[in-house]
Amino acid sequence: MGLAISENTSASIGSVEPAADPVLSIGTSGSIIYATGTLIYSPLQIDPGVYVAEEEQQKLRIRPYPFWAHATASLMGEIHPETTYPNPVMDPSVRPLLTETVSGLLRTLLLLLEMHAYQSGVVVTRVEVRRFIDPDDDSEEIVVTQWVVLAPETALRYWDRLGGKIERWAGLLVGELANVLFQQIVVRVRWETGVRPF
Amino acid sequence: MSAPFDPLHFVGLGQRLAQVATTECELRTAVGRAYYGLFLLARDRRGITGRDRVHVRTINAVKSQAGYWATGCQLDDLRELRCVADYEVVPEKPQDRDWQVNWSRALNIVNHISPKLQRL
Repeated sequence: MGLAISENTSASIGSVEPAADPVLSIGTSGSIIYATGTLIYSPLQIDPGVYVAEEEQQKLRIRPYPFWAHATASLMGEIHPETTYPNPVMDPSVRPLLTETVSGLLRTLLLLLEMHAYQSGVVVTRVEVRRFIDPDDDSEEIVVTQWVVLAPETALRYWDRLGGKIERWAGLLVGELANVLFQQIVVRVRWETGVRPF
Repeated sequence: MSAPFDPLHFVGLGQRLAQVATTECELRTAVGRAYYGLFLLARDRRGITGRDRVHVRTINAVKSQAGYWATGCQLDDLRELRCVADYEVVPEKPQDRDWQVNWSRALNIVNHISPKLQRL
């Protein structure tokens, strides 16, 4: 089993006030909700074992946008059935760092990245999770990189807006979760132009 | 007593070097100067002292500042490029082996985050 977001994590939670973002809002437990009130993901419900990628996960695979994206697109009258999103590729180097806490954070973070791309109408060609060790001081961190088809300045602004969403989510995390997110995980956006993966 | 050194001079030196660069060595050096200029700026603005794990502590301090998560991650991207420039004779990742591309990426990040770091 790989990193793909499982559809069976959804559950109705009744009335939810949407945040300023027209689609995404974040529940008080750090769960991600979209404007119809459907709970998309709660980090407390997920078995961390699901995050360990199998070998076949190492190569790029393309899968359709997840159920929530299609549902949202339908609501907005913007159905793009040809749109796809790459499965995250997990570098084996990151496996020793996948504690239960880190795995839960990563799973939500990857979904945030996917939702941000969808909401921004941005084509994503690759998503990668790997480890970086600074050779100067042996500090290590988990690097989540999303490759997008955008011009550099546009990609940097897209990255800034993603950072804002991550901060909103981080502000709702309890205990050590926020510290782990801020100290052990970074998000990168890499831009490439003129690439059409489909 | 002379005025403190302005770390942004490192950034300017990197940019001037890259403008006339004809070798990989010059572009690698430009990446390093650009990173160190912004790193020192961020370190001093956030009041980070000491040398133990000072790079990661500085970047985490930037990320923790409200509204600066992405800026911290962008500075961290420069840090990794600088590590590639200074440590990897053959860059481990194939996408890091074109130094014109690496410098272009670094310059875009520098231009984007330099004003934000100066407002820290």
